[in-house]
Amino acid sequence: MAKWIKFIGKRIIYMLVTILLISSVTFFLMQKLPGSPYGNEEKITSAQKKVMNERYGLDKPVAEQYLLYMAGIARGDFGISLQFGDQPVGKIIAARIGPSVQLGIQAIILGTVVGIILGIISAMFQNTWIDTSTSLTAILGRSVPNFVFAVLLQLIFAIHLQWLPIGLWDQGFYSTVLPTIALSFAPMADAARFVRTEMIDVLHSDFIELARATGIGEWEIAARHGLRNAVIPLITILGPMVASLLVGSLVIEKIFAVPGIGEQFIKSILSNDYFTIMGLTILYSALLVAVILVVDILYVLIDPRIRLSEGDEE
Amino acid sequence: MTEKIVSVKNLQVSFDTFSGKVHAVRGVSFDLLRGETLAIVGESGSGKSVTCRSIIRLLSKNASIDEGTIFYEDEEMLLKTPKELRKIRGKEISIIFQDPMTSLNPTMQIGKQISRPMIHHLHLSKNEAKRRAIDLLDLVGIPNSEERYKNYPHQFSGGQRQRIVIAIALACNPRVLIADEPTTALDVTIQAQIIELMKEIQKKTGMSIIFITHDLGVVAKVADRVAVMYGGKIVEFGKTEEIYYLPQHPYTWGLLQSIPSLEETEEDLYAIPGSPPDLIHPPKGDAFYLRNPYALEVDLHFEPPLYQVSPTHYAATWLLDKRAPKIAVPASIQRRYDIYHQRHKEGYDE
Repeated sequence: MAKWIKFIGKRIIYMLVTILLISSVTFFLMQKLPGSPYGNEEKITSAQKKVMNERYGLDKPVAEQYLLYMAGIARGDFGISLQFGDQPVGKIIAARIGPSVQLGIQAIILGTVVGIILGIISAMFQNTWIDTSTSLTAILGRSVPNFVFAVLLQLIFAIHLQWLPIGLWDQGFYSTVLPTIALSFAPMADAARFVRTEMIDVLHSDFIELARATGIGEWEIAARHGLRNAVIPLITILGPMVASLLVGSLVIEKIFAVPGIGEQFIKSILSNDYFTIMGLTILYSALLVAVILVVDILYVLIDPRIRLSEGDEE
Repeated sequence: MTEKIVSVKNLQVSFDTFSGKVHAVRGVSFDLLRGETLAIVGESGSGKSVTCRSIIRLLSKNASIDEGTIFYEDEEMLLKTPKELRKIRGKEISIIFQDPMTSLNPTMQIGKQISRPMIHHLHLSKNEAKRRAIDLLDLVGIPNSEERYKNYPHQFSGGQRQRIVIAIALACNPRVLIADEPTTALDVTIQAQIIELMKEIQKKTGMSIIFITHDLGVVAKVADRVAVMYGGKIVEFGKTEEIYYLPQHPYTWGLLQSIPSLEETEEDLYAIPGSPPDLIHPPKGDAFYLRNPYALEVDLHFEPPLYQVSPTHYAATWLLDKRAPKIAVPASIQRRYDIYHQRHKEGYDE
């Protein structure tokens, strides 16, 4: 147990350092961003501009701005949005992140579960028509942009069959079904192709041969011996996929009129909304490093060959 | 009196590959007797593993058994459905592979890997299977069996892993054990221990063993009878003593000459020249022709039949034909002949 506390503690410190570095880099990049947050720059006078800059602290020397901003982050204050009527960035994100995260989690679960099943079936029937058709599905899922699926789903299930709402976020779970499916194609395709390759590899290994020699049936071999060994490497590619899905997809959110964070991100960049951009960047990187930590913990839990090193013991 | 438990007749196995059809086994016949150890010796690609895997039909998808019969007791293995085969695999006939480092599932506790076949075949409960698995670990010499039941393969050494593989193979008390080069991946001291263990278990259970190896040195310690394979055929077989001290086939001579020995240090270790025959286009005559320093003209055109040397000893070489010229046997082989004749003159009995 002490081993675990030490391991996780150490990793959290690394995570904080990473986030600190990323937020610093973002901050200085913002300084280089062309343009200003003020929409009609040519129409406002320099006096007005000066007042605004003073108000948002943009007139201070860069070093001072940087220190103020970092101190704010330490307090959990990400500044004020320059675009949305002076609302705190934290509040804007909090109000918008919910739907994005929900869609992301649902899509990841749906996508990987279906992907793993397809991958296993593909591997078990390697080089048959079953394999070819699942592989084809996977390639389609990977190469067709998700907005195409989104529109097709709307056409079939919302317009023709009228089973599900076409968009908006007002019917609870029903509203989430179509965007979830649209988002899940990419992770599904990745997982299917990945698991297929891994599974074929595993099914050709000696211990599978030995399991066959003990008279155990093919499906039991796949489930008991193959699955775990094939899925362990999947965790690695799953990490970054989760992070990118959680911060939302601009296109899908637009098509289904989901009040998510993805749209916000693009808007803030287009309007030079410094503090919102930085807040979202930090959120995204925090999610990513957190997911990586979770992946590492999962590794230790799933793969008995990976143990916390002895050095962490004392 | 002993009788046959496995009987293979005129077995022919081929593999479909990109470069063509590989005739890996070309008409192999042998019997395995109850309680005996039969060694099958030959170099890589001689078809020894394929022959044995054919018995439980554990061949890759591109393999096909083209001809022959394989009887286990009174049952024709080649007519069995996959489901029927699964009832025999692991229960009646078990197999051990060459590389213990890869033969165990790295993400499963070894105890579970041992008890699984027992639950499957003998319908034991989890607890009964666990108790028996711990007994088996004791039997194969894994200390602290109770605690180690829960360990994973990477927590064991190579020799211990091979012991665990043996425990899996023995779990359901098989009547036949096929050991496919079980000691090749182990160092020599561990090799001796594993062989000792197998002999001990054989004494206790009376099972028959087919011991596949490329090392004639190992064979002397374990086998009752030896079959020498070359190019997908058995070229010589007989009692172990006959193969060691009265070898007839030039290939067997070559194998025996390439065993390192403590006495003969003056010369370099002998190696059979050349490489194994191309089994996509098997030679018309004797497959060993090109590498055989004693080859005759006839070897090029006709395959030698099996000549009987004694009621238990056969060899497929034209040198045994009445019409063949008398040749001088290599000196080291002649010394073996001398030992054999000495022993038998003195009425030496195994």
